[in-house]
Amino acid sequence: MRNSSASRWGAIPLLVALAARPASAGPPQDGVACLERLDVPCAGAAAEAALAAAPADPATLLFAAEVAFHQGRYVEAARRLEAAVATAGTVPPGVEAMRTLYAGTVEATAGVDERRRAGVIVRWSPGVDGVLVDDAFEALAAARGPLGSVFGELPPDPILVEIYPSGRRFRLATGFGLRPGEGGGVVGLSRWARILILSPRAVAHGYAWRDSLVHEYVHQIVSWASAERTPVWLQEGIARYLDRAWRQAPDAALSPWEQTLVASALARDDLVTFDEIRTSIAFLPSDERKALAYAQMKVLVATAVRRGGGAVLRSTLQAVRSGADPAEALAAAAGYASTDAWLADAQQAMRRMDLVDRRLGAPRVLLDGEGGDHDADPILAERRDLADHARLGDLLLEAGRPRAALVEYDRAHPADEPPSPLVAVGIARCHHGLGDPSTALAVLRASATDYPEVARTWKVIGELERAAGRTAEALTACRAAVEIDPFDPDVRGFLADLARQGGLPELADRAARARRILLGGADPGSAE
Amino acid sequence: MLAGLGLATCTWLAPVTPAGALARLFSPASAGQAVEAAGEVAPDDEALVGDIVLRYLYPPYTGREPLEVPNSTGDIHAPPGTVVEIRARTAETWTSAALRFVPRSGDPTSEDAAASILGGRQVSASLEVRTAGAWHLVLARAGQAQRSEAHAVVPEPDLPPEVLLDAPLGTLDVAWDEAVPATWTARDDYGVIRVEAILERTEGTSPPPRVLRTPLDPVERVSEPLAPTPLDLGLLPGEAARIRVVAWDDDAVSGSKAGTSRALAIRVLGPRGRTARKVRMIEDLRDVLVLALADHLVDAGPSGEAGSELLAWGEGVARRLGPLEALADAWWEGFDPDTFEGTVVVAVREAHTSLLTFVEVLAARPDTVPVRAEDLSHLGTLHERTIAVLERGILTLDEAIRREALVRLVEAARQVAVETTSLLAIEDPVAARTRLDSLVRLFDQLDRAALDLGESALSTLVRDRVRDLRNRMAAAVAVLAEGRRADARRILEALARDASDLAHAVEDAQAAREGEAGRVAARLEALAAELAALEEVERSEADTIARVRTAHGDDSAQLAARWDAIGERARNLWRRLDRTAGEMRGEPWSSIERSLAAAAAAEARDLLRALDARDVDRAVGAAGETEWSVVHVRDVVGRYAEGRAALGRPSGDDPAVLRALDEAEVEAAAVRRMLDDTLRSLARPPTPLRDAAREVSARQEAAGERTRAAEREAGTLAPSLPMGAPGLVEGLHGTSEAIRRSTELLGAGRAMEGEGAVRSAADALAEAGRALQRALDDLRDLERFSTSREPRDVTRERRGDRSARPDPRGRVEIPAPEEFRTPEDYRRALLRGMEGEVPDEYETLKRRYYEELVRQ
Repeated sequence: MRNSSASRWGAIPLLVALAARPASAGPPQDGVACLERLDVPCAGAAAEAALAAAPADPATLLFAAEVAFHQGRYVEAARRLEAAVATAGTVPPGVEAMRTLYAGTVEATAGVDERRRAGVIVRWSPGVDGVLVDDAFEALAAARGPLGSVFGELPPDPILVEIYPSGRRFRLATGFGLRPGEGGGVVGLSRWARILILSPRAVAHGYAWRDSLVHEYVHQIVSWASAERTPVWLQEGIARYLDRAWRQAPDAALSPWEQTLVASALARDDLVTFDEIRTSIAFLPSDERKALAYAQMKVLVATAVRRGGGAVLRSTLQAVRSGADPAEALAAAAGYASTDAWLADAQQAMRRMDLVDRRLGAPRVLLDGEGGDHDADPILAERRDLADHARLGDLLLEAGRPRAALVEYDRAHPADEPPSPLVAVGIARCHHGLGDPSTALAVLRASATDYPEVARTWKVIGELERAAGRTAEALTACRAAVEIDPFDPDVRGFLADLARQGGLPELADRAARARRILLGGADPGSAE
Repeated sequence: MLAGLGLATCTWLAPVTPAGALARLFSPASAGQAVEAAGEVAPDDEALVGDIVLRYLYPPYTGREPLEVPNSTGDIHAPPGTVVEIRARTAETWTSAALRFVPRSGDPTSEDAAASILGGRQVSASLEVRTAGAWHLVLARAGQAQRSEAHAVVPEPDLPPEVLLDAPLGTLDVAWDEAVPATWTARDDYGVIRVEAILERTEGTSPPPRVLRTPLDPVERVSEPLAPTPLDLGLLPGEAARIRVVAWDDDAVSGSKAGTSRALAIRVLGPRGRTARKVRMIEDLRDVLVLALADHLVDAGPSGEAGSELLAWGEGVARRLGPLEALADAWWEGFDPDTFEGTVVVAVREAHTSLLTFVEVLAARPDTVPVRAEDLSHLGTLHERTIAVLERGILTLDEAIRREALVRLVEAARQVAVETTSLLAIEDPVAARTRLDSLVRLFDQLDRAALDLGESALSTLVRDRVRDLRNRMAAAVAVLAEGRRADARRILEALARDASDLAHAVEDAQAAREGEAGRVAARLEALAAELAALEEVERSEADTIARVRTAHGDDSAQLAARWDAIGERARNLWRRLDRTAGEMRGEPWSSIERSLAAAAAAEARDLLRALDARDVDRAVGAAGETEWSVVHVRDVVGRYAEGRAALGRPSGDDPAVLRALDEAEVEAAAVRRMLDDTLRSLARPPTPLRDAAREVSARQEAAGERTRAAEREAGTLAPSLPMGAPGLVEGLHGTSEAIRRSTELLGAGRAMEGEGAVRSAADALAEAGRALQRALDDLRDLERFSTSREPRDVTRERRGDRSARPDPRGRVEIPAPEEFRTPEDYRRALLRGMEGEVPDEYETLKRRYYEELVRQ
């Protein structure tokens, strides 16, 4: 799962080109400065003033187009862009790319619904994505407190969040292109002072979308706080460190998959060097290596904050904004004598971690149903022989033959690794079918430890715990499932019942409401 | 012909001559005069009459020759219209006679006819059979009259034709261009003159009867396929009808009567329907194999090693194939072995047969003899192999189902996208609601196709999206019903966008899969080319060694001659065993004896292969195994034969079989001895030959590397092929092994054996190439199955333009002779042509045509 951060304003060279024309008054410099520091309200005011003064000036129109694009007014942005081109009498280089992006965004956001609450605007495609809206508000509201403490100050409201219903529309709006696979598994983007995020229903088996939402918000804050001067490694390190701030205190915990990577790299003494992290993440030779680098970034930031305290990040970003070297700034803010000392401490921190040393499969992000059978599974996607046995297990289970299915699922289980999450669910279903729910639960719990972002695992755990009368455990499992895949009406139904039994009426009502939306009981398009 | 159609008439014929009987019918008036002349008949006295001779003159339409029955009881059994000449001798002398017929039907009126009397005692008369009753003579002399004993007249009814329609019960789903799986047969006691198909459409007007046959001469039995295709019956895709076949007989007396077959219900499928039917078939097949697999997977094996325990287990294993065989019966086409599903079925059956045969062999031993560990291990291997074949078969069928589902999914998703977009242009609320209903049906199709996709991200995505689309469609309908058109429009616009997204996603998935399939296809083609090239290399190398060996023919030549002699002897042994096994197919031999005989023949075949491959080590081993097998089968057959003799059961050809096995035993021992001698006398080849062998050995190393690369590639690609391309990887493994052996042997200068190993490698490559080709054929068939939806111009076909399509399954249609009378020279040419061999299924047609032509 990847999030991406970028907010650089691509139109500045164009503005310069247009402003150089004799007839152009040029863009309002104060407005450009506002955009550069992602102060969109400020840029908006500047654009209005400039348009009033020179409504037919190409550079002003282009600037106004860019501002409108940042504000989320895409039809207007496209119109102004065309007006700028028309008045300029030429199509400067780069405008075609802007046209494509603007047109794509207009298409991708056509007909969206919008809701505002407490400085946050959420836009979503009418339909079941409506169930995400309240959850998005909740996560951002919960995150803003801790993040405000960390950074001292947050960007001006509103936070514009756009939830895209499909990988295709997400690619249109992000400019990644239309070909499937473009974007390399990115599900969230902080760009143009907006947060673009993919609905979990477009991702096979869902994903922890609220962590991603907050992750993008952290990127936006960091960009704003450092005036877009924070390098990728620090951006990612901070965002990863803080993206669960909406639900728990920040820590250095890595995902099981990241832990296996770090454990393996430590054992081989083959961590990604800081020079590579700092200068050439994109050129690392494999996805595994990049994932290791991202895990290390998180540990680097967490180590610095642990030593220097809560104000480390704020002072680091201020220093970066002022032109300081980010690594030196972070080391200094944390109280290290040198960058090397900080790096050595981070490495020690990794060595002290209780890391998963089992072999696990890499998480896979498939959008819009892409990939073949079992391709979303971290193990089966790479092993057709195992996937074949898993499929046979599925067919046998469907035929009501759990004992035989168990044989096939066992064959689908790599000898020296935990079973794939899908196979684990199959194995658990077999045990359940054979009257052994305890073993079923044990298998699923182990799988959830290794692969916590598989909603199906949590769903079946919830079902089994509920059947066993363990309401609290069932509730926890169902909440975990909903967090990853909020679109399963069955789980929402379980959750509503369990929350009611557990004395959580508000949660019960929300789950019931979401279930109604998912089952078409309400017109989600008119939810507001 | 039907009984009881004749009128109650009986006509005197006197005098009777065979040729002019019918023309000389007496009129009822003249007969009456004769009886009157006889005066009153004494009621109690019965004149004695004997030596009755009946001569039947059948109606011409029956085509039956006259029949004379001497010393007859007098009872007449004949079809109506038959004239029966009666001759009888009286005990006393009479001056006049008449024949009286009394109908059985209760009509008190009897009919009399004159009879001639010769010499006072020889009476002649005749009657025409029309209805049931009895006849007797009335004899008169000088005012006295007596009647003779009464004899029955039994008209044998000329029954209407019996028409049978040989077709599966229930409604037949037949594609418009497929052969209709039905054959009609019309039989009549005297002759069929016309056969028609009566077709009643379920909807719409039924066409006039279609003439199937009008034989040039009446025939007692005629049988043909109902129609080449439904189109030939006038049925188009989507139509349903009931079909009866009606045949008319040639009854010239009572009039032609019709016999009718049972009704056959038929539904004509279009391209989609045909695919849907095949999908059902493939799904059914997959599901029965899944159940069989389930039983195998949880099967712990035989409960013990006793013969009865092994056989009981084997019976259980055999029962697992029951549903498969039932399915083959249920689907009227069965499973064509030239299709991918046919390949699956054949492989599954073969695997089970191998397993069960071995079980029988094991069970045949006396219970006092423990099962050898290696036999138990082999049993386990065969069981595992059966499971593996089932698994591969299920996956092959599953893959086909899922590919087809994806095609369906793409079509439905595109349609949904188009329909939702066009919905926005509809202003009329009623029309909009109708369109919404059709969309709901499309959603159902999407759901079904997604379910058939099995476990995949795409399947989940589609089902989730369809659920959402359904819900919003329902919301749009509700809003529309409230008259909130603007709101409805807003919902529908969003819906159209999402439907478009879905269509894009599904199309992208299909494009990705097609791209992957294209890449795999290219690799498979490259592999096939590499196998062919390697085979050529190996054959060339073998020829090189042979040339050098010939050039330096000394000890090697002698060795080769000796080897050839052993080969010849082994070939004789194999032929003898194979023939013997073939002769033991029926009674009285048990399946165990047959299995053992077949196993011995198979061992001999292995021996022969080893000898052909010049593989001394393997040949020595195989010779020992063969000898052991022959001794074993001789022993078992001998004991069983004794048992049969003791129980007094038929012994069949026991002595001949035992003799053949005795001879085989001697032959097998001789082959083994000769091989042992050869092994000892293997001489060092001359230096030039040794050098040449070493040169080839060096080149073989490179060939070995290429083969191993091909083997790796085959291993990667095989899972993409139906049934995993059985024989491909094994063939390449055998090739690698043979090349490795050839490299060693040639490197050691052992030219003759080395050459054999090289040829063996070439043969294995050829075998692998054939396996790959078979798998590619099956893959193409699978692809055709999943993509065959092209609409065809059936209207054109209906107009009779047969050039528009090939005949179904390449069927040869032989015209019925009545369709045209051919010129003599053309007929002769046809006759010559038809004397050639034709496939079995056309044999009947050929024979019929041949016979008809001869009659012309």
